Amino acid sequence: MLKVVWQRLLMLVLVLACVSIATFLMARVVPGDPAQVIAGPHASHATVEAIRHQLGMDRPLLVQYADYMNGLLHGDLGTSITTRHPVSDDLLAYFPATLELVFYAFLVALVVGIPLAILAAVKRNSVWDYAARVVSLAGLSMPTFWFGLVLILVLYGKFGVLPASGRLSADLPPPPHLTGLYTVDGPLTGYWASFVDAVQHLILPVLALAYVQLAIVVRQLRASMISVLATDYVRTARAAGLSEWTVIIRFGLRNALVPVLTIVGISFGALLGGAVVTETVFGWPGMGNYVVQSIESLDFPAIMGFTIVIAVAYVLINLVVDLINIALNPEIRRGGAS
Amino acid sequence: MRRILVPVAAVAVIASAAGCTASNPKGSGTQSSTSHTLTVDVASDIDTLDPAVTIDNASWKITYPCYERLVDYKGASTQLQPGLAKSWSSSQGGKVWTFHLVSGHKFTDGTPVDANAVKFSFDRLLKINQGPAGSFAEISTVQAPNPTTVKFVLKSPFAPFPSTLATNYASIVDPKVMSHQQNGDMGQAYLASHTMGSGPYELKSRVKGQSLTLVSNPTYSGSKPQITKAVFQIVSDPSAQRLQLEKGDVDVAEGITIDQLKPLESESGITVLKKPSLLVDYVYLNVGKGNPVLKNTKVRQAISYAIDYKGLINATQQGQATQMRGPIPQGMWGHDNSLMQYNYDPAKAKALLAQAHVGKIPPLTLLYSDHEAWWPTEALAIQANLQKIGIPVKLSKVEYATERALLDKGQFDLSLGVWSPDYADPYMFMNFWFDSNNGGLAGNRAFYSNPQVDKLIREAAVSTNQSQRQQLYQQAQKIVVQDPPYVYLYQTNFMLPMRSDVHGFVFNPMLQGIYNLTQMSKAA
Repeated sequence: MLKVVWQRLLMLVLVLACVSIATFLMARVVPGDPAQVIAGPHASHATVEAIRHQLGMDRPLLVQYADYMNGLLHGDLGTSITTRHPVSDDLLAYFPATLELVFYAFLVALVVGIPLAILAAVKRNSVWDYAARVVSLAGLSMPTFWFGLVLILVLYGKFGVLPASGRLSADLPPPPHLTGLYTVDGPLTGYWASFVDAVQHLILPVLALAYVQLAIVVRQLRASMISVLATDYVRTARAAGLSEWTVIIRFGLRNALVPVLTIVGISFGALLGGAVVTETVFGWPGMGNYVVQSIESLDFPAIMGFTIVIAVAYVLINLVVDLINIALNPEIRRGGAS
Repeated sequence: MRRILVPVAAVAVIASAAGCTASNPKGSGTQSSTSHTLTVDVASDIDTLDPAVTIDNASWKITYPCYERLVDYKGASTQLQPGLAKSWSSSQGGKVWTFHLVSGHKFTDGTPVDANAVKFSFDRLLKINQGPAGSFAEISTVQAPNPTTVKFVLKSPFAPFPSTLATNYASIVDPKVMSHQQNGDMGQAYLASHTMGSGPYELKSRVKGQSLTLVSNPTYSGSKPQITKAVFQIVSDPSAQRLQLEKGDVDVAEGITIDQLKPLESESGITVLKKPSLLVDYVYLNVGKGNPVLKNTKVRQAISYAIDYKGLINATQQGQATQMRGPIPQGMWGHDNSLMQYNYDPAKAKALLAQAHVGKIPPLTLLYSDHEAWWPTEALAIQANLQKIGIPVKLSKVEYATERALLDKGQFDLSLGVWSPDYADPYMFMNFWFDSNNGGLAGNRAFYSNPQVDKLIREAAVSTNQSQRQQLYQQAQKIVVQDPPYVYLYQTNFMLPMRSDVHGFVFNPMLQGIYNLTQMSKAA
């Protein structure tokens, strides 16, 4: 187990090096000049050159890269060209928003999806099975933005029970920043009104995002469970007289979860990069919005900072998923196949 | 589905109920009755609030009410009236401008607004030297001989100078901003998300990506406004904005797309404001660096006759625009209503092309991006129009940043463009677009060079005689319409949906996106 952790951490360093070089080069190879964007449509050449110099962009590429990596090793992600604030400050503001949204979405997807999938697999061709398959198919076919808009139209437009957009009502202050997650910081600091408001704002975007993930989980786990429940060792366990519950959960689910968790892990990592569509529909101030803004204004430090954070998150998530899989399935631990 | 809906509905109900009883620690909110609060939906967040750095109208929405300037626009017109300066005069033929300040105005921290603060603001603007400094490149020095007098010495006479002082760039900033300096940035990091002005409002709170809240400034020297709180919330989805406006949860919605405004017009409780703006949409014909056929005047005239202006306006602006008549738009002084205007005449266009004797025209590239939502439609329409008279057009859609790079290098034949004036002077159109020294992104995107036009517009730039300037610009306009380096398409209408109980909003075409909060109110 420890060996796996060390391997992954080493891989993290390698991944970061490659990702940073690739992003650095790509951002500069694309024709387009952030100095122009800052200077504006009516600026003179002199102004643009002055800005380029201020940003240090007139230095050789290698120097710029070395300078950036040096800063990175000291925990400095540079200063955003558009907001003039340290990129780490901006990320600290936007990342928790996405993390909160994606985390709860996956929680809902797993808490609802796993039992539904088990029921569908165990009670094949019953009403539960059909319901699960329909729910899954609908979720995979529905575009998130459409579903999100329908939720807003019905639950805000028609019934007015939930807010249309954003993370918090404008007249309530966000709780003091501890983790950046309003649902954690609120109770910890006693900002209960903001906490309740934040929960109300979370419901619709979480639903929109969760539904698609739920569909994926249900479909994958149901298929996985059906194939696992048909194996010899499960038949043996039943024959040995173990209770149905033990058979399904200890023998069935444990093994069936492995491929599902891998997919969920990849999905989670991808969405942390900004559930762009969901965030746009619900005006959620997260990584999706941030990265789109940064790309549009060619904000190099922001783009780099974002990429590096996501790369790190991705590697770490994959590490966690692999560790869980090892814990669930000793065969992986031993490195052999059945 | 029921398995999900029931617990969710339960959570929603509990959350709503809990919302009534939950509260935050004391003193952590801003309360004000809703009849004195204006809530506006905006489509995206701002970049920085520093007047010396930001060139984005979205930021000016916040900063314009928080800072004062030497001069202001009069109501809905582009004429100037006294602001912090009660009077001004020029000497040495327009090279030196002297302003006499009112006294008694204070910044939010009590610092007096005096000549030193004005000198500081402009010195800072020029030292930071970003986008806004471009409008003040003519300034040589700023002097403050006494607390109520400011003297601007320019490098050379520049007649439009006073109008540059009404812009957001010319905001008078509290010199105490230097105490917030980090790494020699002159307070840029601080002013990016704070305001330090003497205007009727100040920034109370900013939640990144979500909202900005202005409250009325207690140290403001004028009378207390009806609107004591203005909340700008960032709602990126146009449909969500529309629902919020219809339900009355917001008073103004800026991000609703033009096709949705029509149905809103007929809804009770909502008014859609419609006024001509100074934003023009036009096509650059790369005379200087594009395909050689564009050097031929008849070819460019033919292109101008080939465009179906009315059809284009309907397709891209839903009819909410006016065809341009010359480069100076309606609403700006210098506009000439008697100027010749090209009309849709494909037969005449073909005849002109034949007369031009350029033979078979190779495909011309039409460069554009997604910078304006209607550009893809416009590009297709223009391609179709030109195809009809025998000019093949190759569409080249790129990223906005890429487009600007190509424009600057002159690597295109035709390109779509929009332009709006930074200050209220025809110089913004005539000199920027036609002076041969301004080739490229700076303004002359057609890389046009006509010594006769250069002479006229350069003379108009320095003369301090208004009627003489008008005459010079009229003469220049006649030339550049007959020998068009641009296809003058249209100037857009400004449209804004708002609740009918919002009163007092005055649209000034120079202040698009900015609200005259001190004069606004909401009916009880």
